[in-house]
Amino acid sequence: MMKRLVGAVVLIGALVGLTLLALTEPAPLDAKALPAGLAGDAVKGHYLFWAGGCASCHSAPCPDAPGRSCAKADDEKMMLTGGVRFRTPFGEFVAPNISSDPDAGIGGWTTLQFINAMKRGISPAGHHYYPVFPYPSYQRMTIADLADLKAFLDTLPAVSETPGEHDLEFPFNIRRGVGLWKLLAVDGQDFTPDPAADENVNRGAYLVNGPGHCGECHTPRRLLGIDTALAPLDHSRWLAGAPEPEGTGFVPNITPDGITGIGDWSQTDIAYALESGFKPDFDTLGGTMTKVQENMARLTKEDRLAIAAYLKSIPAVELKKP
Amino acid sequence: MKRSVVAGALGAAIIMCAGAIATTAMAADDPITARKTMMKNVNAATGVLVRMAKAEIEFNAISAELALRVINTASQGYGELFPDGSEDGGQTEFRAGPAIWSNRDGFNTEIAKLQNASAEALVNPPTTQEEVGPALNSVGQVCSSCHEGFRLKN
Repeated sequence: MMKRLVGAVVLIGALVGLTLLALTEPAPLDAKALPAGLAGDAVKGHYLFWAGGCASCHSAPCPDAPGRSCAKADDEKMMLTGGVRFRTPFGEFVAPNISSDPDAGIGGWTTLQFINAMKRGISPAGHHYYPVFPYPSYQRMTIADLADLKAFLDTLPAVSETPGEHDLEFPFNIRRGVGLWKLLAVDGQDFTPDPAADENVNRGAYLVNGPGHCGECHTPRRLLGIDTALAPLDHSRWLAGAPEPEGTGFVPNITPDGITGIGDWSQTDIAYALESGFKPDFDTLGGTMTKVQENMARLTKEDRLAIAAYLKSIPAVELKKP
Repeated sequence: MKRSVVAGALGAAIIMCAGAIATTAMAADDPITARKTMMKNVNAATGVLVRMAKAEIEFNAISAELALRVINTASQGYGELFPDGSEDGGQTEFRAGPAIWSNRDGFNTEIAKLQNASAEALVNPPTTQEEVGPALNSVGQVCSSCHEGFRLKN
């Protein structure tokens, strides 16, 4: 009787285990997904480097503030040493070296491997990346854009030092578990333009949803009715503001809501704020947004206006900062 | 219309400069009020330049230069307004970040950057509406950079 019970428990345990393994199995794109003769354009990739904000997380940490980068000049921003430490409820993540070094960085990666990292959150060794790397947004980028970006990254200096490892709480240190989270958060879809919107709004939508990854900070996360950092983005409150990922403060509501959002900002106000850092009250965009604004300042005026047009077009969501 | 704008801007600048001198004198007594006032003045000056850059108000070379001078004035000795013991600025929208005291060198570097950026912009102040944006941005980067590391939201 006891033997049967133990046998049943072991069997059920094995079945649950196998199911979990199956559910969390990484599903990378294979070479067939790439068009024949795909060649990246590093000049276009340079532009995407700013649009995607790579330097903000992957350049060297401030000596007296390891939670952020102090890179200001272009050459500092292009030394992708990694090392910035992100303190989250799950533990501390360390941004990796993505310089062109073939061992310490991504210099040895193929374009397909880079695309799988960005669109599927899967490493060349076939492991899941933690979504502190915002691939749920980057997955919306086109294969052509990603090839261009990789071509540009390949031209940047090589850094041979590896920064530290993540320091995570149990059970978040079980990397395979990210596969469960991905079932909810990574749909593998490309960006689809809205046929009802004009070209400008769609361009802004691509920049915001894809390389800009704005939603990662500006959208709340919710699962089964509970607001939690563990959840995927709550698209019903898209860009309506959220607690800062690193604990304190609140990332603003950038929907057109008149009171809790930026409804009183004109399209020109939004574009100008991205260009200069100055809001309509002539104060500066603050905190972590400074880095973003430095990147946005490198885009064309048309692209900033497109982002603004998109932000004026999304649903106004009333979400007050707590 | 133009004369009164110039007169108004001139008057405002004189008052701000006098205010700057007065607040420096008061600084020893109440550095917190002094530094908040200075930044409000900078905000007003920035507002003139931003509106000109966006072509929301008419460009005026004298006012643009005055606005840059107000910003430059604020940067002179700004660090003196954060003596030890003045850490608690109260609960208005923003407050001075603890990094000002724990990383005094870093803070002083930011102030020096503002002095230099505004002085640089004054070497060749804007003579057309198109020149306001670039001049403002060269200074604005320092505003953002200092606020990023050294100012907190309440």
